[in-house]
Amino acid sequence: MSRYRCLIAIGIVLVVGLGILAYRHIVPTITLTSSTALYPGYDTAENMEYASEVVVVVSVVGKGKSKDVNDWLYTFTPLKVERVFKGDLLPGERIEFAERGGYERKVTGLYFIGREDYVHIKQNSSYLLFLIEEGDTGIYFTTGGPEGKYVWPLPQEATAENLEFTDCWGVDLDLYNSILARYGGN
Amino acid sequence: MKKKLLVILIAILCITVYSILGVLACTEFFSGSWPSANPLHVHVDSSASAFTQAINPFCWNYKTSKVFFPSVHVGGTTCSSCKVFIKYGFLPYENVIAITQNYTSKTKIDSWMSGSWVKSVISINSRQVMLSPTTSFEFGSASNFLRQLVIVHELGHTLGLKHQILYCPESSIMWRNPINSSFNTPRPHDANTLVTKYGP
Ligand SMILES: [Zn+2]
Ligand SMILES: [Zn+2]
Repeated sequence: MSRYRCLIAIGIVLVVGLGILAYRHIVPTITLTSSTALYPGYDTAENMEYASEVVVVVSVVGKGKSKDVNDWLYTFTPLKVERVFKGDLLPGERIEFAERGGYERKVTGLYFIGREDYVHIKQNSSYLLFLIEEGDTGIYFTTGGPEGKYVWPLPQEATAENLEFTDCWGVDLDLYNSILARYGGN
Repeated sequence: MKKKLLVILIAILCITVYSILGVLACTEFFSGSWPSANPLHVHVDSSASAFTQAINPFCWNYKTSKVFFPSVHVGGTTCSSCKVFIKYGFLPYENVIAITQNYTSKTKIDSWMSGSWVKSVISINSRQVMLSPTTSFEFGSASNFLRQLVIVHELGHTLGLKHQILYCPESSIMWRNPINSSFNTPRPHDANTLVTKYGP
């Protein structure tokens, strides 16, 4: 009888343990890195547009894939170009968008390694992006770091939450108002 | 009974003040830390050896007794006591001047904000970055003054300092857009933040 109880106890522990492990592999544990970058910092929309190869409105059309690039983790997400303000892309074209950070699977579970200075793009969303292409790869990245990505349509109220900026990065109101004036009209 | 209410009210007040301070602290420094930041040996990778003149961690010394950079070690094999590594090269997918990453373990992406740091890597980008239609920045061809500005700013991150909040009225090397600054060493505000984090 006590042996039977013992087996049941082991069974329960195993089921609960595997359940927790399975949960940790399905629902990512979100962590943030202390990685911090020195971005060029643009004071006006005109300057950021000048430094960009393309300025586009995009929609996110698929899940991002995370890959290791020279010991850095990057996520590459497929985007569909909706509108072009600058550059030789055409509406309807697909591009890939590179963001530092992303998913990493370890034995202990799935982790999302985010950044304290940046909020990654979300599924089923649209953004105004200031981009530079990496060579001729079709892979693009933002011109101004966190300030190269804006929720579309541009929100009138420039809060970090509305704009999907982190609190610690904050919103540069002068730059945002300049962007709103240049691209927000229609 | 009234006394109890008072105690509860004071407690709520304390928690509110504490949480407001906590939010403000968000802009000053990371919660992670070095087990000891005295000494912190700096190793310059051979890729960055041409810029040794600009690698001046010493201007962070004597702000607090807890932070001390005794030496800069250039090229060759990595010394076992070196904690800070400076590299130079092309960073794909990055329109940045430099990235600093503090690690809590030797593995590449275990780099949490909190926890105990074992190493810090400063990666300087060789890419030319446009700042405006008339100005650009390229570390390789920048002046020694600007190179030091970048390195000293990044070493501030190595020490756990974050970027200053937007429109900070005081001048700071940890301002997030320091490239146009007229100084390239820590300001009193940076020294104060360091003392707040490490103690005197
Ligand atoms: Zn910085
Ligand atoms: Zn060394």
